[in-house]
Amino acid sequence: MATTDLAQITKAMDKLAAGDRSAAEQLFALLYDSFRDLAARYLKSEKPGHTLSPTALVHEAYLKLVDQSRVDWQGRTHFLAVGAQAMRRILVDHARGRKRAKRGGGRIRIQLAEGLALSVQRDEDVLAVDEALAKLAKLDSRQATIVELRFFGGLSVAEVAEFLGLSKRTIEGEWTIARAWLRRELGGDSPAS
Amino acid sequence: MNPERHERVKKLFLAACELAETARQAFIERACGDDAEIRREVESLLRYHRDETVLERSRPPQPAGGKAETLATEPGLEGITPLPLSSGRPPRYVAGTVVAGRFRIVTLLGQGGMGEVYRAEDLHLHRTVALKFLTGSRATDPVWLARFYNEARLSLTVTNPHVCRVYDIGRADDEAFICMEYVDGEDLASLLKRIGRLTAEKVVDIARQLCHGLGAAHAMGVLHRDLKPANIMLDGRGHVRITDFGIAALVTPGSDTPIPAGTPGYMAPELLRGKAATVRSDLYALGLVLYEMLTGRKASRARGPDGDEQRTAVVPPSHVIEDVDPALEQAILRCAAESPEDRPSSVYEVLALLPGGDPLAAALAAGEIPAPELLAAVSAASKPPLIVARICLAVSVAGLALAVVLAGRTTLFAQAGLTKPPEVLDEIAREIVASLGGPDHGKVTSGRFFINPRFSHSPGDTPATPGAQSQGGIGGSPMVFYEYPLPGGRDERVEAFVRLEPTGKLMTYRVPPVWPAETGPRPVPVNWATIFAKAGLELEKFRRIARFSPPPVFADEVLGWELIHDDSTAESMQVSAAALEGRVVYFNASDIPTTAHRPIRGDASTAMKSTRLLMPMFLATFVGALILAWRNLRLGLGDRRAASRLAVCLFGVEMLQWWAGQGFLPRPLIDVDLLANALRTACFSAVAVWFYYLALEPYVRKFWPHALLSWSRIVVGRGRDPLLGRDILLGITFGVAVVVVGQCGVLLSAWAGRPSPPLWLPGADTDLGRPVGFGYITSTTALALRIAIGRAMIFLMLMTLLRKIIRIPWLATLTFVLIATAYTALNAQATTVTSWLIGGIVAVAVADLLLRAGLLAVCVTLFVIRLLLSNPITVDLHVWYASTSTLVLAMIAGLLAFGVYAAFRLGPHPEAARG
Repeated sequence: MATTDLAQITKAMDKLAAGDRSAAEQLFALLYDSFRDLAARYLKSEKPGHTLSPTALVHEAYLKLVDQSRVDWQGRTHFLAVGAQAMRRILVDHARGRKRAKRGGGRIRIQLAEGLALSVQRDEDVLAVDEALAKLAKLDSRQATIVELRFFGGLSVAEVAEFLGLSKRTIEGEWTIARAWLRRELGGDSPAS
Repeated sequence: MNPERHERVKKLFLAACELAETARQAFIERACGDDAEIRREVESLLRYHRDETVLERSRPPQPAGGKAETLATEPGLEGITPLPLSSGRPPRYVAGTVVAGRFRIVTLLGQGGMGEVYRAEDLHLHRTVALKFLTGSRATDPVWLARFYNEARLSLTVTNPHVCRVYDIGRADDEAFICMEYVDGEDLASLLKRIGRLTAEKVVDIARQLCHGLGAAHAMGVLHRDLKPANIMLDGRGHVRITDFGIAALVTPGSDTPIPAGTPGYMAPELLRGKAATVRSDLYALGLVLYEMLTGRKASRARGPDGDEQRTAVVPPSHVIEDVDPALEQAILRCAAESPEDRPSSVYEVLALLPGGDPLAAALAAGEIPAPELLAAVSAASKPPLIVARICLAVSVAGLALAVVLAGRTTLFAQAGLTKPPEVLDEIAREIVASLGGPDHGKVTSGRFFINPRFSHSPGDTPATPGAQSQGGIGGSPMVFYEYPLPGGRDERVEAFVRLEPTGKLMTYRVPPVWPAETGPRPVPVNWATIFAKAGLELEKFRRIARFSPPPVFADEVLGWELIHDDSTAESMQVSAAALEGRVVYFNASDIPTTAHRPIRGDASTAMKSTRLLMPMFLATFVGALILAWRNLRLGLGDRRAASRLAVCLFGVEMLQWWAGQGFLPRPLIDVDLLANALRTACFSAVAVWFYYLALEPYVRKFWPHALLSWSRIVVGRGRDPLLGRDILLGITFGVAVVVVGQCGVLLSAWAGRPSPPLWLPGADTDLGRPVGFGYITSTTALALRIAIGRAMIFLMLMTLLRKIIRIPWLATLTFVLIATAYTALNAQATTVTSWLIGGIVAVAVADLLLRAGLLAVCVTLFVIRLLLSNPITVDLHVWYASTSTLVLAMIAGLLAFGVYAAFRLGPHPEAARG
């Protein structure tokens, strides 16, 4: 990780904290690159069949990339939220790339938010999650964002509420229906009894 | 469906969620009206909704609702399923927080009944760890905390790749936490949720890993107490780790109730009845976990026919799914047996039950020292080919018959010419004493056979076999019969004894001098001819000599004779005698060596020298053994149970031997000194054996566990399997074969005109007792057992050492044979060609057996050899020692029968035999 990246990330974070919304896109671009590097290095060093945990990766990146003493709770949430978006993109791009390359074995397992116990084994599943989220975003972009933050960023309900500037109760409601909706979209025909 | 309608669906959905399930339908019907699309959508989403929030609220505020419980309420999940965190509680620590001054929180891994688990970075050691906070865990309760720390300390000692390492325990913000190995993977419970069930191969693979992990913990005395899928982590490489050893049960809510803690679904029935957790209750949980992996369902219990809830059994997996490996099913059902006695006794037994693979080879490949239980389990599960047992049976029966026939000409007892039973010799001795005017103490029965110290043998000697013994010679037999007509035993000062040849001829007579009464009749001159006749000698053939070794008694008449040489015989003989006041007090007839002085074997000075030499060596090895034993015990390597059993067993055998040797007389009550002495000796050997076993056995187990297979089966105490039977049969066969070959050697050398000593010839003055009766049989068997076990151990240790030092197997074996030959030959204390030959045969047999069958077979071999050689064996049922011979042969036959039973009856039909 080049120090320039670190400096740029810190700068973008500062700007974001100051209320500059355009800084989020800048941060996204920066994080996308560094996460991709991180994930690539991670995947290379690990054996096939290993579980990749994007949430852990994002949190780890946060610890590595950001000067802890300079960032408050809000800044951290911002970082994780942007990180979650970047991570989603990386996973989807990765899955698409591999699907195109038609590479067989050596697949990795991606575990979405360990605590959520959503684990994806096939590239198709990553894409399915992505597509379902895109579909959900058309119906209700807020719900899609919440899912993205929780799944890919591992943010807690409180953190999501803080990030979106909504009450925890609202987030909980949105999260509840989004989950049921996703389950239906991903889980096939048979409902959980 | 558009965003507006979705918004409406959402509102209805959330409102319905708030309602009880029964009220929902009515609400939806009322709220949706005729908008069928919205209604369908809401109903569909509700079907996929899981009511965590409601559950969350209905739960007590305590850490209730463990992870496992949450999962238990959501059965039948398939495919990709998000499993949300209980969203009501924000994580206590955010990423970046430094806990206890050294752990930086990275991310929350999960929340469960135990509390929150975080991934954290250890800032001191720079490694990733998992921190488990025991939320609401009565961390302020000192009693509970003490228990918790105690359990955690115990589990700190468990180091196994399949056990999640506990690194540390600590407290932060009044919460106890455990710092443990971070496993990058998922737990078995969520894996099963995700993919349903596992293939049989994968189940067996995981089962093996679980067994190894559990086994390591059990070896350290740590029980898991709450084994379940949620406590089993699988990393990306399929590597299994068991978490929460001993702690889970403590932390699970309700652990302060009298009912032991644990997850009810996996608790063994006896635990539910309030009994303490055991290895077998852990195995029960293991069985249920395996069941769940194989079938994808929790093991359901079918009610027994009588409906009694305590007598329920697990439905066999084959009733749930198809194509179940019978061996795997058997292993699972054995583990999940209702009664603890029906379950395997250790994880190693489970390992042996699991289909395919060799657990011993696996343990060795993993660089572990296989546990004794593993060896026993492997032995129990092995099925050696029956052909070996059949050959052994045939060879040993035929060999035994041949050995018995040949024994009449080759063994010590045969060469000694035991024509008269000890009772007759007692009577002869009494007659001699009476006729010589010695003290009459009535009927004495204290005579015993001893090894004749004057008997020696070198290739140039005259034949020592009784048939070839020349007329008039005396002391040619390897055995003599001592009679002590006076109390005082073998005390030199009051020594009074009669020494006879086994044929009854007088060799030595000696009584303490008694002063005659003042007014007695004048003594008549002694008639020496009658005394000579008692010794089978003729006085006319002797001439008086002036120089002879003086009798060691006080006397007023001391005489010496010497055999007059004639051409017919080359032997020479000296007789000395003494009388006091006309009463014979001493008579001794001895043959004088024709050659120059021959040292008598077993010379006291030689014994002293060897003792002086051996004692420091023994002390040095003993100190070494102490250190090694201590080390092995500390590392948990020593097999304490086996060592203790062996020590107690040897102690008992030694005491039995001593007591039986005393003729089972109540002498222990009288001769306290003798008893104390025997106890001291037995205690010392028991303690020494204990230490040596602890010191050396782990190395044998490490480098060469196959030698201990059937042995550990015996030590564990449930020895009845085909391998054991085969080893016993092999042992008997080799023992009998060695004896027969030795006998043939003796016969051949006699035929070639170079007669050799008997096959077994102990040192001078060895007490052979009266070789008849129950006491003798017990004593001789006990001694044979002691010697067999002791020597077999020495051989095993020697072989292991050599195999370790000399890496080339054949060279190690050759060295072993050479050393063992020398050991056996020198131990026999007769350094002749034959003894070396016998030593060589024994050494080759022992080496071959050790490599082929192991320690137990060698024990049996040495036992059989000893029994056959050190006891009078005959085919003639009319001789006085026929009963002893029969009993010894019956004992070997019994051992043979047991071997046959174990090898054949248990071999082909183990199930039938068990049932």
